[in-house]
Amino acid sequence: MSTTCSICGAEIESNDAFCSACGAPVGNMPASKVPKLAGSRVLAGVFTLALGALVALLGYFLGIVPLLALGIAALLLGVMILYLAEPGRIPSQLATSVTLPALVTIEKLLEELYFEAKGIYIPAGETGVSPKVFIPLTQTQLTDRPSAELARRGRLLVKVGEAPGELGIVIEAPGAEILSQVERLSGAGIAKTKFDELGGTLRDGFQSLHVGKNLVLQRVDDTVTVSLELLSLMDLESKVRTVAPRLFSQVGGPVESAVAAAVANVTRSYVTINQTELDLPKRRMRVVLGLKKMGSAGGGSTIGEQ
Amino acid sequence: MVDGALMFATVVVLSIFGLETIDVYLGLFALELFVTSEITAPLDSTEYRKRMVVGIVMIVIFIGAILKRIMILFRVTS
Repeated sequence: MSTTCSICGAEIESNDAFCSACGAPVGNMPASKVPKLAGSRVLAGVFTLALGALVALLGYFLGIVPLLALGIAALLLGVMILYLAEPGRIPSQLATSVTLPALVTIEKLLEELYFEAKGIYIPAGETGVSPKVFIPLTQTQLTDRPSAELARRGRLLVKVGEAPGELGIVIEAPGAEILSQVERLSGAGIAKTKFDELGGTLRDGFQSLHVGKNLVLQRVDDTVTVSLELLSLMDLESKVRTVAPRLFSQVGGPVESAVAAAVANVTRSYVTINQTELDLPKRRMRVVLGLKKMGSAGGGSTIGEQ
Repeated sequence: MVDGALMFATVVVLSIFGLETIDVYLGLFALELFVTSEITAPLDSTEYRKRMVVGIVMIVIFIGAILKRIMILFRVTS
């Protein structure tokens, strides 16, 4: 049995959770477990705090110092449970439903403009420009090595050569925001990081953002392999693969994209996502990136400037 | 909750040694909080700031306990 999407009217299979045309969630989203978790944390905090206060008072009036100290320890633990409670995180499915429509729009754009080549992550360097991906219409020497200047222009359609097919589109990397959060946490621009330190920076950043843990980054010649265990965004990563397969194969999902953009910036190389694997039950992700050193960069002018 | 486990372990160990001075417990609790904040870094800036506030409050309490002890000592000697 199939229904229609309340947003775009496209046909949806009964077992689909998201519309394959616009990415909108189908029906009511299951209630998030986050509020329940927050509620139980408050309950645990209040209980520990009250118990601690009771034991501390008992210890004080009975004159038993270890009992007083035990009460104070429990009291402090209660304060920390309540006061240092984890900041509210956006429920995974809400993050998916907010992000997916934008990715589906890019998917449609790629499909209708016949962009089929792999996206090339442009090394933005230390310019403070958010990471960009260049998707060429045709693959030529010039489109393989687009000018880094393209990332700074802020234009969508760009021309890199004189031949008719030597043009492409420059889009924001889907993982740009993840990477900027990692940069904010590490306190330094990724471009200033040495390659040997990149694995540690991404591992710490991803863990702090609750994106992933146990990140391992290995480089063999012009291939970089990154593996990690996802802590969140599983929903989004799996949906991108089904709802926006073209965008996923050309540019990657948000996590792969953040990693590719970071590697591009640190190595000053053009990066393509050559392979990506996601083991849903084990939450393991493996991304294989191809590097192409920046040499004699191609040209680059925006269509609007022609 | 590394801090909590450390604090309870401190109480158990110090009580086994028969320590009867609360300021030592308080001082160690504050120290443990600062040390665990550093070793569990990187934390996001909000959490780090909150931990520092708790740590500073604990140090103030610890200083209060020390001052009280000094006052007692002065009273005894004078």
